[in-house]
Amino acid sequence: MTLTSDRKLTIALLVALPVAAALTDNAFYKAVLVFGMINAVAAVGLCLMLGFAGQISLGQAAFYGLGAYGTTLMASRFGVEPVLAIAAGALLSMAVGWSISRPLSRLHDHYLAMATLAFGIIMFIVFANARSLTGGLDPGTSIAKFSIMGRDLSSMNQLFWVVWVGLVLAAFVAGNIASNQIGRSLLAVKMSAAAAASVGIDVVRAKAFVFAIGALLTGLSGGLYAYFARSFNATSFGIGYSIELLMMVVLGSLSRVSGAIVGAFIITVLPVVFENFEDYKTLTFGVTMVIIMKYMPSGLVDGILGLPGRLSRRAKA
Amino acid sequence: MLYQIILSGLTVGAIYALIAIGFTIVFSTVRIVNFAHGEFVMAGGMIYAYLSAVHGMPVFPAVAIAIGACVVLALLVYELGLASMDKDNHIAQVMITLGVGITLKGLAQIFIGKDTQFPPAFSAGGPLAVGGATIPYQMLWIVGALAVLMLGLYMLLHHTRVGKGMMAVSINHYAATLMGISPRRSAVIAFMLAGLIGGAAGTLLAPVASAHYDNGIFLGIKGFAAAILGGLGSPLGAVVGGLILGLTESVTAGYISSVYKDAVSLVLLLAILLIRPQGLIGKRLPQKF
Repeated sequence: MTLTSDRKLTIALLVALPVAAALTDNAFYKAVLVFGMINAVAAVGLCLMLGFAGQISLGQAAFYGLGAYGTTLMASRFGVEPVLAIAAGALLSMAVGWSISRPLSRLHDHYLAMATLAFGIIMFIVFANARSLTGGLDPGTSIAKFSIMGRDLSSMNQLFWVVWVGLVLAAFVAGNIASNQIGRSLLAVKMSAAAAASVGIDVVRAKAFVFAIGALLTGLSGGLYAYFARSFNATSFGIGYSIELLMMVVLGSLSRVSGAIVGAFIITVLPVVFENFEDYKTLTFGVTMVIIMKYMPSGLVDGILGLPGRLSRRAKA
Repeated sequence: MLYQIILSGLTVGAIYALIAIGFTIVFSTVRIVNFAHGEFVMAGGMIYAYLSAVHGMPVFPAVAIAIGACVVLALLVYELGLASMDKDNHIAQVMITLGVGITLKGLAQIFIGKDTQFPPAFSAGGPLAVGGATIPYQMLWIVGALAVLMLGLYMLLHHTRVGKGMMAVSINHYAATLMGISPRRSAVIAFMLAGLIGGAAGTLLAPVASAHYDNGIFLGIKGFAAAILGGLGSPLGAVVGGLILGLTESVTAGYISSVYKDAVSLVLLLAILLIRPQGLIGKRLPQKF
């Protein structure tokens, strides 16, 4: 799988989404599409961190929450224009991502995973208890309808386009990073931090960069979620969501933007397709994660796409 | 008030110490941080609660079966999930142990249920009153169990062939293999010990702090914090780390804020990871760059 085919697949997916939205009049399916795209934005962020740079994060829900609460606070307390409020939320998340990445860049793999997990739980405790800012678990918080320059754009059809633009932006950012020098230096860091440093790559800066961009995209996703849900509480930003994001990337691809988008849609759609999925969700996710990571550590979709090549190689050998 | 806070801190700390030992033993022999470890603790408490509530089993058989089940679970987790995994793909290792943990949580949710469970304490009778503080009997069980298990672990590691083999594997995997010690067998025993001690921690904790299918990851991360605090790889360090962590939490809860006590111990974990990843009493390790 080359970068060009990833780019083509991503563009095809981005074009297919409005077509899918146009084909259905069902408001519920449209809402599922919109939510899928919101998740996809966050998944693309995690895909950059995990797949491109090998930086595992089990605390993405914190950035998602920072984006959502940042947006809500800007819009509700300061009456900021919604688009700017979303941007402010995403930037807040990016600032936090960048500042934690500096100290975290000393940690590798297992320790980094534990540290980001701890960060995610700490932020969840803050979201749930700093009630004057976030409304905590009960009653939660709510945000006015989405609008641009006073024009109401809050119907599901209009929101679809708003979120679609967000996803296009995310895919554009990720695609560009992947295909230029920064992306290659991130790949080098993933393979060996020591080797990357020896050829003049500033490893700490590269890690800080990918953490900041990952947090930015996940924060953007949180801001879009705020306008999608309009009323939410801290439960949306617990460890559960961090694990779901991880599942999206694992199911799709650990290294391709298009795979992250596909994974996000699979995870979003599962509870809709299967009744009672909530009851079996934890078990299904766990078993799936183990099986995929054991047998197809580059992700399910990637694994399946690479299967013919692997089989023919085995046949030759 | 202060006595009570110190006593409850030491009790919680003893539980964290038991959880931390599991991380330490597994890390020493297999060189992975087992993200599923907290789920053994959850499983111990949940199975004990299930046996005593649904089947009306008396305390000690129920506890013994719960701990035994955790040993079997740990064995299965190693054999099915971890034994054949890629040693160099650390990200896959993290995700596999995480996935195993999520699987155990899902099984507990489906087969035991989502309700919070309060199994009975190990021995009936009111709390002891000592110098203005009250000590529930369960507290004595917890501290006693920590002492017995530590002594047992010490005997195993220093006075048996199997234990000495495990120590050898933890010091130098390759050299141990050349001496005819099977790292795989050491890993299996390490996992079974982790299941045993983790499961015991779960059954001891459940009567005081309840059992719930969703608790594993929190218990796990606290135990990991304790293990890191004492220096990952040292059982004695794990006990010291656990007690420090327990005291910190109960002092925070008593004097500052009970909602932020978990946040405080996690901030402590982050601080240790960043400033002294070798732990408070560990030796400084050489760094690549």
